[in-house]
Amino acid sequence: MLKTKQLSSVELTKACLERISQVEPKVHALVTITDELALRQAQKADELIAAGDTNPLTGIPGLIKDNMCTKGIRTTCSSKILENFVPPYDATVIEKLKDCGGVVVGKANMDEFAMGSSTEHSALFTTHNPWDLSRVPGGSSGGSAAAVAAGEAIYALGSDTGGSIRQPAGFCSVTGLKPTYGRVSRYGLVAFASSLDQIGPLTQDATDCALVLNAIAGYDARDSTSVPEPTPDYTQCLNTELNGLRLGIPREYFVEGMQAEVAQAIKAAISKLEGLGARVEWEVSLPHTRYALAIYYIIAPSEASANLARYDGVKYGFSYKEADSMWEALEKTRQYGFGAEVKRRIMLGTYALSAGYYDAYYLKAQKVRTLIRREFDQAFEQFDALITPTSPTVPFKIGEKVDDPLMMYLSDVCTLPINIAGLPAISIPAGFADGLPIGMQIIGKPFSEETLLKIAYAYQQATEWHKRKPKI
Amino acid sequence: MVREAEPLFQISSPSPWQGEGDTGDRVDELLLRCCNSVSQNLRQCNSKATFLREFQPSFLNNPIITGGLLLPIVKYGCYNWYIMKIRREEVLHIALLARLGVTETEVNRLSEQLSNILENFEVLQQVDTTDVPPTTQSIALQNVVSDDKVADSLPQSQVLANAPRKEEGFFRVKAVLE
Repeated sequence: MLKTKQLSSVELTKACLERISQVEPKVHALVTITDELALRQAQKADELIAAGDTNPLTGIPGLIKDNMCTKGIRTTCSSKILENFVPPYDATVIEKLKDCGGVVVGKANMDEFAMGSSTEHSALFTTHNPWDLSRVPGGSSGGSAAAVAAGEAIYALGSDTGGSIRQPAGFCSVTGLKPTYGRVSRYGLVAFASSLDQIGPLTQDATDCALVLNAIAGYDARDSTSVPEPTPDYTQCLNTELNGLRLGIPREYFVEGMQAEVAQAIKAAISKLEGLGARVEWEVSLPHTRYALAIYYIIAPSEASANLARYDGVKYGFSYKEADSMWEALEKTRQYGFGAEVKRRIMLGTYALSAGYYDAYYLKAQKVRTLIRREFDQAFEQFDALITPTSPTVPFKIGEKVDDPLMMYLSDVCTLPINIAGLPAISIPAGFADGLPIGMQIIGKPFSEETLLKIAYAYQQATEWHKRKPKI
Repeated sequence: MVREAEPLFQISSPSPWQGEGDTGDRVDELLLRCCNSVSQNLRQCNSKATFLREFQPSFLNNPIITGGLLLPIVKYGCYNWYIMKIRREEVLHIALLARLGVTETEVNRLSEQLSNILENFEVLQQVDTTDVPPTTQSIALQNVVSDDKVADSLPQSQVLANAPRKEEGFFRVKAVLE
């Protein structure tokens, strides 16, 4: 993929920037386009390559979801409260990409503070799905997924708290990986739910995914939840040897009311994997799956209510200046700075943590969380990976679910349990229904990204879904 | 301070609606007393179904009320009052804790949406979690600390670069103590 010897980085970057100017008016995936900076970085990359640099990401244009701090480049989290915030430091993943000589062409749109499943909750604008501009790209890394699907960059970084990389990857027909919790440093990632967040790549295929993961994974002393687990070379596992790999299909993920075409496509994809040599067990049951929605929507907003307490209009960000008192300034700053979904989740979280409710909600959710993790651990004694749909439906229309919070939350049922248990999972293109993408999710045990990438690679060698491009 | 609800209706005593005070206020007061006592015990009731099921204050042991038709009407009346007065106060209390200014429309909307969402999460109460430890982190790390080394931190100019208001190297804020 990365044959920068045949093409210079400057040429490649210019091509991306041109593509961006071509499709952005329709897709609206990017908050900031850093064209001058990108060309400068491309220039430097070309020099590095000429000097013998062999890093596969050198000179490759990528996009960063707008909740990762990029020094000197506006980082908004698609929120009014950070609309003009310019971070004074780079996130660890950005530093790593810079060390590789990577090129950043822009910051991608998202749901405000990563709270949402459609990118409609961005306080700036909504991103459109390149496969059907009247539909959502998914969320919260909707901008990242849409941009990669539309060819605006070679890869993008997203963040995943409840499915925010995988669901948009599924909706935009790209490959999106959420690493094991603790695999990639969260230093510089604007925190949403500290025990659930992870940064991961969105790419065209499994090979690129492995290359980006190689660059960003690894222990970081600045993230106290970063696990000092050695980082293998993820490209080494990319082969088609699926013989004997045990795949489990948990039936609870084929939810009642899910779209028939999606269920069909996933079952066909699983049969394909069986044909490639894997051993498939169709009747696996993870009964606690149905509690995942409740657990997530208690734990995530609770942690968010604490993480978003820092937005007070004092040190950075929007500040309400016409207030008479300190308390009014604080309350109005947050009232006008935060969007409806963010406020809703802060309220939900504050409620669940408040005196009198903590035991019934937060503590209970944490306990059931243990049961979910145990259930997965038991399943992984028998299987190497679990396969499920990424989403119960194809991308829905813009405006369809935005006014009903619970309906919106339900679009994440297949992805939430994975964050709750801290496991790695990847979503890959597995078909289309009336031209709309369907994604397949592969879940692995902790630190088994190699297995996931291998299965994804093998599937992609035998199918063409991931090669299709939207007509845009 | 909430008092235990006294028997409100007794056949032998005069009608509680007689006496000083506006009739409307008297009814309000009675309902509020009853709901307050109910809400003390039923703070955990976040679903209408649970509230109506558990709501059995002593004053309802009156044949006139429990005689059938009036009972559900009284129960639903108390529930709606509970929702309007108590739940609204809770939303305002939570907004205060979260330091979020809320408009009147938002209070109503949030009250409804939060009740709806939380009602759906009652399902967690079904799960048996005796002897199950809570999970705060899905990784096994404990007591992660960094070395106590002296290093440069961000220069002041960078720290203040995004400040909405600054003065003489400080962040400028409204007076904390009046």
